[in-house]
Amino acid sequence: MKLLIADDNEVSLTLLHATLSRAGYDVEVARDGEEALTRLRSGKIRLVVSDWEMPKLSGVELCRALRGLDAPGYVYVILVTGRDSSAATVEGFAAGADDFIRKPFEATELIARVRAGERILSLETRDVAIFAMAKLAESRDPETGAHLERVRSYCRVLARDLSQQPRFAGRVDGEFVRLIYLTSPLHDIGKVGIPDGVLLKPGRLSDREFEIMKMHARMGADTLEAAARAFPGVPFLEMAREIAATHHERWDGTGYPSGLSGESIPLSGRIMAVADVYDALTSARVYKAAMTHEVARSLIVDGSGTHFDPDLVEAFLRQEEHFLEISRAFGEGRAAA
Amino acid sequence: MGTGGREKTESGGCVGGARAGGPCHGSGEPASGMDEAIDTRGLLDRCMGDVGLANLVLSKLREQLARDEAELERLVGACDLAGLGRVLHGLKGAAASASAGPLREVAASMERIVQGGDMHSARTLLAHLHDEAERLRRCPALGEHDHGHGPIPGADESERRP
Ligand SMILES: [Fe+2]
Repeated sequence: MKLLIADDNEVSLTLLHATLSRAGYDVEVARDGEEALTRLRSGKIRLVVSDWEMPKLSGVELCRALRGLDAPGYVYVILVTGRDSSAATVEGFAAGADDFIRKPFEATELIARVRAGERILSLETRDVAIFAMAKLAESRDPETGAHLERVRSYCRVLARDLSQQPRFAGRVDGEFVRLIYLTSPLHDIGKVGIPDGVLLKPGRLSDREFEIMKMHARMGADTLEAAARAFPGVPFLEMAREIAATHHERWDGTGYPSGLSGESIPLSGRIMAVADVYDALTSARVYKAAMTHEVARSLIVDGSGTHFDPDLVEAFLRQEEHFLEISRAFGEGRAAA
Repeated sequence: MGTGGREKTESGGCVGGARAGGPCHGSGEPASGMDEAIDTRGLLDRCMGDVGLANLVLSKLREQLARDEAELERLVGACDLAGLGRVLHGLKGAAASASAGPLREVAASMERIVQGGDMHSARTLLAHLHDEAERLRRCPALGEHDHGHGPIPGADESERRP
């Protein structure tokens, strides 16, 4: 990650530069506030470590100017200061600073604060990206809308249940639960590539049309894989790709697009399969009425070991009540239980 | 934006040319000569144990000192309180970053005095500051043996100039 150090003092600059370069950052340097602002206008730098006292433009003035810029992305600002009064802190925050570090700083603390800034920036980027992609998918698919809210909630309920099972210890933790909730709305992102004549057809699809529809899994996965390759080490892209690629695979290997079976299907895809099918069964379509929870339940139980991972069917049965609550909370033409 | 030293003129007392040099243990303000010029362990910690980086930091501090001492003489001569405040604030921060505690103390004391407009005391402290600067210049470069261990030998033992 590229970051900017703004400091006019060579002693401080030497330490800041060495500390952050060694921590793996691509560091640029500005020796006054104006130079810093010019570099930030490029939009290529998302994080600044700036001294408070600087010629031309102080750290606080730099913050104010930065917040007034029509910049493409948020720039996270850490002010380095010898000031320890709460008035100075308030002044810094009011100007738009995100964090402070006291002079003289400790290397470990500086790195920890920069990493915290990176986390916040990545959260912002992640949420914006997911929101935009999910909205795009939603705009092309008449069945989505509340569907996205329901399936992400079903996925979270199932993942939380697994996190309590010793068999899944170490594999399903809080982060997994958060990620699946966040990324599951992208499962059908590939539908944006399906022709209107198939995607929007108000009725059952012919075999040929169904073959075209099946391509959405591969197309979604390819799109997300390209993004994951461009931004390696971004966990949400990897899980989103897994879900898009495998949510129509079946435990017995008869699903699509790859015919994966058993545990070779990523867990996120196995969870999504239960959530997606349950929602499809209990939702009304132009060509079918919504099934009741009881009917959907029996079909899912029947599919244990063939369509679905038996562990997930057990999790579904343990969490039945939650499924019903979610179905009611985000219902639209839902069948009674 | 500066540190905001008041633009107050010393009535009657503002003749230029405070002297440089002076004894290591001056009267009045902090007895900085009692401490090591550099807290080697603190500096090495800040430099993640890198002796080369620690020496680079010290050389940058010495370069700054050479500029700032001359500038402080000029500013004291000109009774420029705002200018003094700005230079002293910067020097205080640099000294703190380089773990030069006594130099930081003198710079901080002088900054406070200047904020109060007391040019007479400021001149006295400038002499202390020169002493501390000299002590720092005499400190030998850190060697590999300094890695993570106590303070470097004081000025008295110094034979090598960086
Ligand atoms: Fe799908």
